[in-house]
Amino acid sequence: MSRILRETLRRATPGGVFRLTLDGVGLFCACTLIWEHLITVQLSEGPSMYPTFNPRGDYLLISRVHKHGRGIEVGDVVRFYHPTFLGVNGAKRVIGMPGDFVCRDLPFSTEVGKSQEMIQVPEGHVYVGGDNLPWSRDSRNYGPIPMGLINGKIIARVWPLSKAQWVQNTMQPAQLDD
Amino acid sequence: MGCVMYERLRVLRILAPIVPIGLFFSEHVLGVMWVSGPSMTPYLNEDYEQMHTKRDMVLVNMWPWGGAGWPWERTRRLERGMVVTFRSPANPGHIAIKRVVGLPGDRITTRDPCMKPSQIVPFNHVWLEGDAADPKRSLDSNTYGPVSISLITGRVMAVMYPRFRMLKWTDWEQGLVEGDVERKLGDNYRHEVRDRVSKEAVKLERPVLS
Repeated sequence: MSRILRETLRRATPGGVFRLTLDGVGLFCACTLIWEHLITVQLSEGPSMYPTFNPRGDYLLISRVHKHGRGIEVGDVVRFYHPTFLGVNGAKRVIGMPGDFVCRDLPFSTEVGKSQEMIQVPEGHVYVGGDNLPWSRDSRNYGPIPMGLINGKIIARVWPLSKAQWVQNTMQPAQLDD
Repeated sequence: MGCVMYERLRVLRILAPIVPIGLFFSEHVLGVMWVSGPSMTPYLNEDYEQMHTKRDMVLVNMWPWGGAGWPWERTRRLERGMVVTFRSPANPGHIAIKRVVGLPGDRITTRDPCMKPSQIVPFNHVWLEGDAADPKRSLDSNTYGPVSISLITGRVMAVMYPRFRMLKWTDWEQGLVEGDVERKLGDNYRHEVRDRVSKEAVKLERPVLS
């Protein structure tokens, strides 16, 4: 015990304290950079992505490499800064990429493709929708969102462990047998 | 020999934390950017007519000013006249620089490429326009509509090169241009832009977040 104390006191020179502070700040910055540019784990919230995610909240693994819409395809679940609420993140499935034609359904409607209005998703935007149509506020409410708002792609659920799995891209090209 | 190796490793060990600190600083505190294109002429890139390739170097405040002060917060105090950088809604890989012309609740009489004659800026959005007098020279809110505040990355504080000057957003309302002592740009700089804004035309309420 006294040996550790003596060691600590011996190191508590101005230079040592400075180096320790520099290391601490550097570690904090490195962690923040990894958290913002590589990988984030976050608790989800809300019913809009049921049954893919539990409305009570799941811990999700988010790949931040895909921010600003880099490498996003139709069917990926993306996390984005909410266009009308500051500091709020949304998680929805990409329905339409720039240039695609999507049917503009009524907000909270349970039907798909019943509205007669088709819109073309503008350049640099994506059309997003929740999996739980009547309980989701998505592009049917606020329109296509700019890709610059996307800050990650949700790749897996990590907690609870019994339900840990990769998030599937459910919108695959149809395989038709003839 | 071994001593030199050891010495080098020791220097590297001391310098190692500098790298993440520097990256963090340029991303969240102060960044340096180069402005290209004519959209902010004559405010930035003053000599665009003579030198198309000359680019102004600007100092950008990336810290989320006006909030509790955490770098990951996105709360920002925005005022009319601030020159901000933001991710272009039309091209997510591009950082654009424009001036805040209208705040939420303002009614804007739009200019040329815009299809609507007037537009009310919605909650958490701002109206951004370039300073260029010719609408064709600027790709701004008149093309892609009001811009979400979540897209804004920073505020331009100063021009560092070729002529150093601090930028003060308060001068916008008075029609002043920083560093323009001889009033080459006129007494009431860009008053026609301010005339198209009717401030706080509607009272916006925060939409419910259920």
